[in-house]
Amino acid sequence: MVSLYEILLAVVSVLIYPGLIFLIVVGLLTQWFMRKLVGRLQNRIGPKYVGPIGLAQPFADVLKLMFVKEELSFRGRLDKFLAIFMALGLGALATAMLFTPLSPYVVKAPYDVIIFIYLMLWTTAAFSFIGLSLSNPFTIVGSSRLLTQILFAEPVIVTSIIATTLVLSRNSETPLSIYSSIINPKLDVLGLVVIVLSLIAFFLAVMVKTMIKPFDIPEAETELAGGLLAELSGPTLALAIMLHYSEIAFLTLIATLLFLGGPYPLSYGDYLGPLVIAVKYLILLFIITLIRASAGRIRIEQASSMIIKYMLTVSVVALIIASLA
Amino acid sequence: MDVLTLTVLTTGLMLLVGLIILISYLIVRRESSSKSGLEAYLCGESMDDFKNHISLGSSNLYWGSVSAVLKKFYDVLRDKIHTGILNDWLVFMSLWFFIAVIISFIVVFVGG
Repeated sequence: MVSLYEILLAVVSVLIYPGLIFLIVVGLLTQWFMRKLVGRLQNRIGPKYVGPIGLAQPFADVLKLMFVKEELSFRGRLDKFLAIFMALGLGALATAMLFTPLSPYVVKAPYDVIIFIYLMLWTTAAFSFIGLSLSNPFTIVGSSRLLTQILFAEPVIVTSIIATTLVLSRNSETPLSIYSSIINPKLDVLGLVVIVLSLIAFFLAVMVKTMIKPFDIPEAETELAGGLLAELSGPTLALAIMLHYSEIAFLTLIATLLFLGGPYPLSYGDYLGPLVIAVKYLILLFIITLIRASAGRIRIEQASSMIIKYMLTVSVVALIIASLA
Repeated sequence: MDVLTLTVLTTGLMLLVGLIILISYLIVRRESSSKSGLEAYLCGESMDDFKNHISLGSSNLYWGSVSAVLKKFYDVLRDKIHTGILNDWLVFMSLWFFIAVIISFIVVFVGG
């Protein structure tokens, strides 16, 4: 029987830490970090005015969109449909955080990696439905590009996560479980090879999934006028921005915890552990931003063949080694 | 916890968070929603003029780039396998069956 304390703990975990509020705050701070770094790399100042060194700028932007800017409605637009999917996308990300050891209420089961992957798919579904629920050719083309990109990138993410959990949760009581793989990893030399290959594939596929340059083909500001997000304004745009940056924060955090060992060489009980996790997180984010600032957008078929050649093959090789190891 | 309970639990929590976000969105939106731009325009012209004329075919929109990237694969599928001749189809299907038998032999006698 589930006690009231457990239910309360689950609700608080999914709503505050490490769920919804935590993800949104980390996501918006991630946005600040990326904007500031891209600005400095391109000889601009970046966010500056709100908060110390512009730290509160993304929060101010989102609050302004929510409470000041008006939302324009037009014929053929499915407003509620749009909001329902974005809300579910954010909800799925917040729930997926319960699989990590950061959560006070941990969920785990044998083979729970499948549920984790199912939760991760909701954000992608939400972004695809943004384009399809607005009657604008730009957003529809953006959506079709995203679906094409995802068709190739999602198998890479699934394969690399399964390969890594297969190696890390070997001989564990709960096989193929995200929590067991993160908290108590079993690693040998062959396992290390699997993790390095999976990390490379996962890292690049995250850039495709979250539409970061050179894979910002669905947004394509100069070509599609913002693509997916072209028609959004006011609170809906704020919701889309929060969803987008929460997804970037979530996937980078999963890469840090699952592939880079979280607080390793320290342990989760250590008080310096969160600092090590933050440093690893920022290093990953730095690399993503460096690629974003220095690369130009590529075409959809170039991106697709790039994903097949350099990501899918690497992740499939990792899975084969993981199953043989 | 077993997988089924976990699926129900996580889906329930996801719906709970989604519902809270949706309610707060609807509260915030009611104050700011505007109907001033009800007509949709494309390059300064009304969308109604465009709607009945120009639109991308759904096959191009959703399948065009995929078939362009995997062109060689589809060429082989179409020209070598899906020729419309029954014998070719039979060979193709028997081949898959043969591979499935070999894999099951490996799994049963080598793996297990």
